[in-house]
Amino acid sequence: MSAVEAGALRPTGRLPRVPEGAWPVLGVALSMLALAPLVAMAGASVPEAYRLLFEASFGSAFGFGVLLTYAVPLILVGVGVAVPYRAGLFNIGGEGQLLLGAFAAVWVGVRADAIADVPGSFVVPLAAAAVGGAVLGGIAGALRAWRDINEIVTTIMLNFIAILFVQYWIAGPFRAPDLSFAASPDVDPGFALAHFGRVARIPASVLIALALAGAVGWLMHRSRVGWRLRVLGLSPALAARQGVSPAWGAFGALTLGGALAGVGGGAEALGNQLHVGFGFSPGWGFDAVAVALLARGNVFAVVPVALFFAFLRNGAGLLQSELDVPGTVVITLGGAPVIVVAAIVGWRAYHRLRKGDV
Amino acid sequence: MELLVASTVVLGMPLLLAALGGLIAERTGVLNLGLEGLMLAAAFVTAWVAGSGRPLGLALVIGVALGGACGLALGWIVVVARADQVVTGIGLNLVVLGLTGYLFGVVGADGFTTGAIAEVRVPGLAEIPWAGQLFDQPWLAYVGYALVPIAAVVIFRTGLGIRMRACGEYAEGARASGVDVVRARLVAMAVSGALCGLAGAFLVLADTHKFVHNVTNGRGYIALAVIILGRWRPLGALGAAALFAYAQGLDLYAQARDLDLPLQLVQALPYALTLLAAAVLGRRARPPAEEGRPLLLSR
Repeated sequence: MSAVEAGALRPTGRLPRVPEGAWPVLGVALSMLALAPLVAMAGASVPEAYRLLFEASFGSAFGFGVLLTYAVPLILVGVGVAVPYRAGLFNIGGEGQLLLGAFAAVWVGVRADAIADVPGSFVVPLAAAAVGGAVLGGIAGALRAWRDINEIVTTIMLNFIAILFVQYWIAGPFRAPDLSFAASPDVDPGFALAHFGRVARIPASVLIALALAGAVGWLMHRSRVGWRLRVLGLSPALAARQGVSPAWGAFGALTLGGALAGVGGGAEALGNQLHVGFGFSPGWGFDAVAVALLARGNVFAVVPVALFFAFLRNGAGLLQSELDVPGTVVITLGGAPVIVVAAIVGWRAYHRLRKGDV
Repeated sequence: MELLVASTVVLGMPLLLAALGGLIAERTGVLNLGLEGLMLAAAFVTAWVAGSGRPLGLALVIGVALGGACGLALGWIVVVARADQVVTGIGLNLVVLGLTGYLFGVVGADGFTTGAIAEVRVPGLAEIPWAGQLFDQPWLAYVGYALVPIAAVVIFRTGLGIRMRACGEYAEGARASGVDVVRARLVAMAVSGALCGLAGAFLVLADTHKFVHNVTNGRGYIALAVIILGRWRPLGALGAAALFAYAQGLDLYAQARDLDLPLQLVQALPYALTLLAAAVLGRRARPPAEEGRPLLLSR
């Protein structure tokens, strides 16, 4: 955070300016490059790996639909991490917020079947998903705002609590009776989101994700509220002088982040899986952290970076089955460029100051 | 009850060791968010070396050395290159999680099952009812016990500790009085990594006896909570780690006793307790002032 703070002083160093949008591009490029040695180390053909990666998402209409389906939770949870990040906070709780949001959406989607056939009824379980995620984010936000407890620690703790809470319900009182494995019942078909295309099955939840990302992008980067949150992230002292309350800012940013991650879970549940099982999330909450950090918290940049991660996740299955390259390689492809970009940004901020331009 | 004391030691020791590593870094002004990744990397190589039939002692040494080397590398990135400490730490955790999972898949799961390190029964002390379990443990646990007072004395009672804390509380002042802040922080990060290495090695050699994907499962982040609850003091960390591990052991206890409680409720207890304790104690805990801030204007 302090490196950002230092950047906010705007000294005129001799280092060339880099437009904000260049960092995500660099990150994605590094991520693609890092794949090559990892494939080679596993003893597989590198060109073949890249070919399979593209084939998975762009080789067929079906694959393209899967790409977009993967992208929905990544976009929404990614935005849910990016908003607090810009306010100077780290939301590592996306996994729990996503799961609790999905659970809330499915619970409402099963219990509120009376209103399922009303047009636009899907809004109700999605609102429940937002509330579910916001509760988790809000707890972390309140502890940060008024008890000074590091939000990284609380959001991680809440992940475990949310996962166990949902497991308790779907293995016990909310378990679908006719299944051999533990999972919730399916939501009423009236709540399920539509798919477009006969082969591609492009989920309507993509539209929801894009619309929400656009709205939050406007809020964070164009509106007064967003300006206040971003000032808070750059320099809490400056924010306080501008009349921004650090406590309410932290609480609001983490609550909004949680709500967005919750909607990510709800959109995945209503648009794809229709129920919540033990393996609901393959780790979207953690991929989303890499997405938001590579996008450097810019909400508009989260969308393409999330699509890129969906592209990696989609291809990882083929890499595993065709070339025996373990799918967890994707996590490394997320983390490595985060470190490299952070090092370059930190080094630049430091050297600008050291040139004596402050 | 005896079972509960024993499980508290085995479950708590990795948390305690990682927390000691984290607090040494934080006291020197670096927020080491890579505890999780450093532990996981060490757990992986320890299991790999031990699983291929080599001596457990060698596996332990290699695990600790790798932890120290990775800690130093992470330290170089955040201290010398001035990368954001939280972002870089999270990035390291992701890289290690992905790489260990990848190597685990490439090498194959067969080579990662290890033996258990020898248990040592302290004559006399081990006969005490209940608490005797504390002295009938894998020998590495005694190293952990010893590190707590050692760390406390070094941090609070030696000149080295004063210089460390000066770097953590007021780096410019430390620099003005002749402390090489960058070097101090690099050393602290190497020690921090080595302690995480010890934590990861303990986890494998004394608890799980094998490596599985993501074997640390968030313990490095829990160690961060342990540091906060322990108010950046080694003895406090001991207490917080013991509290967490005790609550975690209740899960096994409930299963062994066939208590009619929802399993998930018992399993959530340590996390809920930690949050509650943090909420109650939060205001009184203050991190070192320079924590997370790169040294900007000096060299």
